Amino acid sequence: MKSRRNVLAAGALALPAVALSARGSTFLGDEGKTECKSNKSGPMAEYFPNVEVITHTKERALLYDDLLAGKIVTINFMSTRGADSGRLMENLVKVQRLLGDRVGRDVFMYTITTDPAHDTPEVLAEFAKRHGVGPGWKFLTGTPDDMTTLLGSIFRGPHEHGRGVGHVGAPCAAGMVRYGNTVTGSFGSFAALARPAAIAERFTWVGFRKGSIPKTA
Amino acid sequence: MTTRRDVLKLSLVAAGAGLATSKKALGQLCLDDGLAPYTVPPSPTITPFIAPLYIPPIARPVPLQALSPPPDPSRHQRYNEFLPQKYYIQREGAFAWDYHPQLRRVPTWGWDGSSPGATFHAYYGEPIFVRRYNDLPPDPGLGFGLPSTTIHLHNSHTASESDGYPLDFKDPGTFWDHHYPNITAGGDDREKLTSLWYHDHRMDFTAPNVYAGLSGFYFLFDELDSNNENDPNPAAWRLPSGQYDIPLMLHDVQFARNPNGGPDDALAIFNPFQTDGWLGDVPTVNRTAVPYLQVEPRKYRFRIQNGGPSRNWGLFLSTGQKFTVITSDGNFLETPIEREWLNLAVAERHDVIIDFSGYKPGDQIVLENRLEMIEGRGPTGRILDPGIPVMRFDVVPLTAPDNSQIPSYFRPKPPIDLKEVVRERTWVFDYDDMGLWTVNGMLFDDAMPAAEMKQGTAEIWTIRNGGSNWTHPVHIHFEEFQILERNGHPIPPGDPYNTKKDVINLGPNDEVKIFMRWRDFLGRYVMHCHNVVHEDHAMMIRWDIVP
Repeated sequence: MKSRRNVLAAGALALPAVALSARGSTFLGDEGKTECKSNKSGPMAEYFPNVEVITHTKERALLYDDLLAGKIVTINFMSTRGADSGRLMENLVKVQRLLGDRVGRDVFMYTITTDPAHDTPEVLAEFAKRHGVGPGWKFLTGTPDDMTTLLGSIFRGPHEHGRGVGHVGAPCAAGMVRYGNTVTGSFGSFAALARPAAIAERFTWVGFRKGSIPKTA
Repeated sequence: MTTRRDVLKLSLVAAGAGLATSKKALGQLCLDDGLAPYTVPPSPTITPFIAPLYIPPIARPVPLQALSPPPDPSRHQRYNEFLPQKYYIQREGAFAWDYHPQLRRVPTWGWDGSSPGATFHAYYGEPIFVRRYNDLPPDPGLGFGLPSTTIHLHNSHTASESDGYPLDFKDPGTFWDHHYPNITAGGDDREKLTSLWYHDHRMDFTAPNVYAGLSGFYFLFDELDSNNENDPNPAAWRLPSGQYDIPLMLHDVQFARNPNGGPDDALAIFNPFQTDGWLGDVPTVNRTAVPYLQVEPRKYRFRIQNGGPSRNWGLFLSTGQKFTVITSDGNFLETPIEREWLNLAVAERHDVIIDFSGYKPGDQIVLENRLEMIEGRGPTGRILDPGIPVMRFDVVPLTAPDNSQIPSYFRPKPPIDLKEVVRERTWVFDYDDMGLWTVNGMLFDDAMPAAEMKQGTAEIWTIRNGGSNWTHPVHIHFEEFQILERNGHPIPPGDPYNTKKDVINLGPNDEVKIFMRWRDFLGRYVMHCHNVVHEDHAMMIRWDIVP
């Protein structure tokens, strides 16, 4: 079956197989991009390019294999310099607090930068700390090419750019957060600024362990 | 083939950085308008017109004793006033479905092993009760969707608790009861509806769940549209009935071979990250891929429904024969109108009469879609020539005389009394710079209605598409509306929009003014874009009817 991932790779240099699975591959690679093949399977493997990323705690990881496969996750895109980053972080931090220690155990939160030139792991770590981000929520960066690939895969389709385009680092997908279960393929979206309790409830929908969620944000 | 990534890579190189630092390069991280449409691999090639059209069975009532526990009147407004005369049970489940001899055993959802689900034949004055069980597996098994459902009967005049509100979902192992009184709004015969459809409406998961198979038909009959083309009542309309009254549910589906199956086995593919809308390259009719239907040289009534998820269809007959259009969104027009083609946005419906008596056995007529659409946000505007084949009608010999008729007049529209209007509101559907679909700049909040209408009043709503690149078919639950103006002009007579409707197709920058009432029931309902991918990105508002 010719997969979309094969279509994307059609123009790329074929990297030797040993480099694919080894964490030791050069971060930037020859062309600033890494090969996308995944060792894992699952209904979502094809929709998440398995690029190498670096977390704000300076771990290297393959996006799908190491961070997403087998998990219930949230994924959003933003940049530390984006004009809306403060509002988004304030609301998502409230969600993390509502979920408590379930984040990092039952739900894994990921924020991917669209400004990788500026948002190095150190910058992301400082940003996360400043906003009160707790464990279980990782901020990811990588090569510009790979971040482009991720944004284009997780928010597919041409977008109309409304007001505010041209803010440094403001992606056109900043407002939506993908959430779901990579085992079952149940994936939906919520608005990053929606009511935190309404957001937190969604994890019970996609297979999250049932538990009590505090009523107040 | 130059990929989008190659284009962007060249731009980055041109900007003079391997690690881009310029604003221009940062801007390249968002896809620009005009870049390549989605590049999902094409579905396996199939032979057209070899699969017979599937026609779903008619729903069969069960005795009241079959419902255990029995219905609870306290859960339904006006239950005893409209006591059900028939009871139905539907069971939602997963099964392997043959769309086509070359697209077999596709994992599919439906009711009682059928997709579309059984067709309801309901009658005004005869309330019914439907208990729907969720027997779906806890793991969807499709690679998409959520096996938690809430079924909306679009656009019936139903109390809120039976309307399939997006958050009234039921999980596997539970059931939800729906009371369908089959009454007209305000007791006005002119508010009668005819062809309705039912489908899942699950918050955040409507698009994949309907795509998986959760849609079906519901016909409402009365003494005039009586489901009997040989009706002895001289007032009866005697439209084509029985085997000559055929629903056609359109869903465009994308397929891939099942890597774990036989050579003809396939999977339906749905990418939940396709934000502007999901298109499939295989037209299916009643979950049959590019089927054929044998027709006698006589009149047929076809109830054509665009079931989504996102495509606009422009339907033509290959011989150039016109359609006789008799309904729009389940509402009879005042008089039949002849149209060269049917323009259907998601959720729009037309009943048409096609008279095949001008053909002889052996003739073949193809139904084609000629509206080009390459990305989810709307048609390009090009009319394709040749069109995309949707199905073929194969003429066979007549078996009995055709006693059906097409009346010259159906019924008038309900009158609009502007003195009933207590308020005017404006709703702007748009997409903001943060990538959020909004209505009046607001996100959907299920805890707070965006509007509360007093039961029994009327309002004028102006609905505007704030974008210049998008098409939004906007749907309002509960009552039909009438269009007062479109872009400043009234709808001319003879236009299929000159009738009551429940879906309004807003093209770029379009604005419509509508008249609507809220009668007979109370509670929460929604208005939303019916490109269900947009709907799942919260392009929706809650509104309530209050005492």
